[in-house]
Amino acid sequence: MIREFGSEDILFLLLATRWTILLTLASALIGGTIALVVAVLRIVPLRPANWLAIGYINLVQGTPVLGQLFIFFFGFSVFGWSVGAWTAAVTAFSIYASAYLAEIWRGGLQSVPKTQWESSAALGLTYLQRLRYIIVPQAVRINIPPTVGFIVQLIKNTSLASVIGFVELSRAGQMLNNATFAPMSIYLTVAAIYFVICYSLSNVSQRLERRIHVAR
Amino acid sequence: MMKYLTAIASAALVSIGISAPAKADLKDILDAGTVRIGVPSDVPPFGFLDENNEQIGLDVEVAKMIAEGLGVELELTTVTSANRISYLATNRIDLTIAAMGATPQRALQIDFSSPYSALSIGLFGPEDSGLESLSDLGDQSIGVARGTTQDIELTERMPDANIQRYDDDATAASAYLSGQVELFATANIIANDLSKRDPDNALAPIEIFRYSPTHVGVPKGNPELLRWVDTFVFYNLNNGRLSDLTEEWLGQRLPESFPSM
Repeated sequence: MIREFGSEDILFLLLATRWTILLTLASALIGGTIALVVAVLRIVPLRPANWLAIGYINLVQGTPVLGQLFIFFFGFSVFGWSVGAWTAAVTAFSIYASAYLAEIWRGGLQSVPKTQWESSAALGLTYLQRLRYIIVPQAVRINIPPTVGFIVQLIKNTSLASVIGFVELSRAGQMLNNATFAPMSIYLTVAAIYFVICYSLSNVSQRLERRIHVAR
Repeated sequence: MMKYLTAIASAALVSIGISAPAKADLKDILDAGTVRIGVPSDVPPFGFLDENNEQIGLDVEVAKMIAEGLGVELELTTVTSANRISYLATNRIDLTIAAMGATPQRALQIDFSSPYSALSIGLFGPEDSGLESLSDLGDQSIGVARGTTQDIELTERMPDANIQRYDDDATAASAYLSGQVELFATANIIANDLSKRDPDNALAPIEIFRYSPTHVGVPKGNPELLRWVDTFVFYNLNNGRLSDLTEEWLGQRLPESFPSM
């Protein structure tokens, strides 16, 4: 019954890696879009908008993503609305990413010196124009390293989706381990695949940073 | 902390799930033309991956037989020991066939059919452990897969034992083989297979707890479906097909007088 760990299994892990990458990409894109709105709501000079954004961020950051996964997957089906594992995972991780990215980007926006706001106001730019042309371009540069750092975390956190039966890299490794009882070969392979993804991403980020700095 | 929150969240959701109206009774399955069955993918030899990484195992075979018996399409869903009950309780699947033992506590959440197979579970250790039964047990650490029948059995018999729980049998086996725990509570078939593969670290039985029957899980509130599964099990026990399957996957036939519910 117990079989050997073979080359077929490495292929199986690589195929499962597609889901890790897709889940991360989808969550980063959807979460990033929401985060953009939340980060702006967080800094606009309008108290109720600030409170709304702070409430959202605290709610999401204060609950474990594992619990959010359970709520989207099992919670909705209680009301007769059947949500698939992929939809539930993308929803949960998008919301999770949106709260963290919003806070990271808020920090970036606020780290742009106040004089930049003031001098652009003196040029007669409106609030949105100042944000769009003066503040955001400077904040983007500051934000690249922490954003990539968070996405690297996100890649590794997607392994939590295995609890709702979503087969990504970690879950595939776990399944193979129960067929072969060869944890060392399997988890070393899994770790190597994660490393390749995360290392490449950090590398791209460093290059991007350098390129953006040239414009200065 | 995470584990705690998950347990609370899933318990809360399961309890909500029970109050929701069940919509998977026999007629609905026949109307839909599909039966949705949850099987494990990480519990050898009940459900695991073969060389081509296809899901195989005793439970997968039983699921196929059930779909055939109902005359409908089979839709297999992978369940884990952590979510197999929530899946049923929230009607994501019609049946769970996942090496599941019946306990009064689990029966508060889902219904169990008559047993379709059984496995020997027990405590194993190195040949020179010097232990002859559970009563010789001191403070040796014991590895076991969390939430399994052997975990429940061991916890009931030896509440003070030093039990270390892991996610699944493979992880518990690794803990034993790497020396993180001294003893290993598992199914007979797994202990035998591990010993065959690595005779130097052969696992010797210290005590066989019992012959643990496995049941099909049915969501509450589906009396016709439960009755049908019971009839299916009764019929295929009598004609020997379930015994054949058990011999093929677990290495021994079912006893002549096999219990039923």
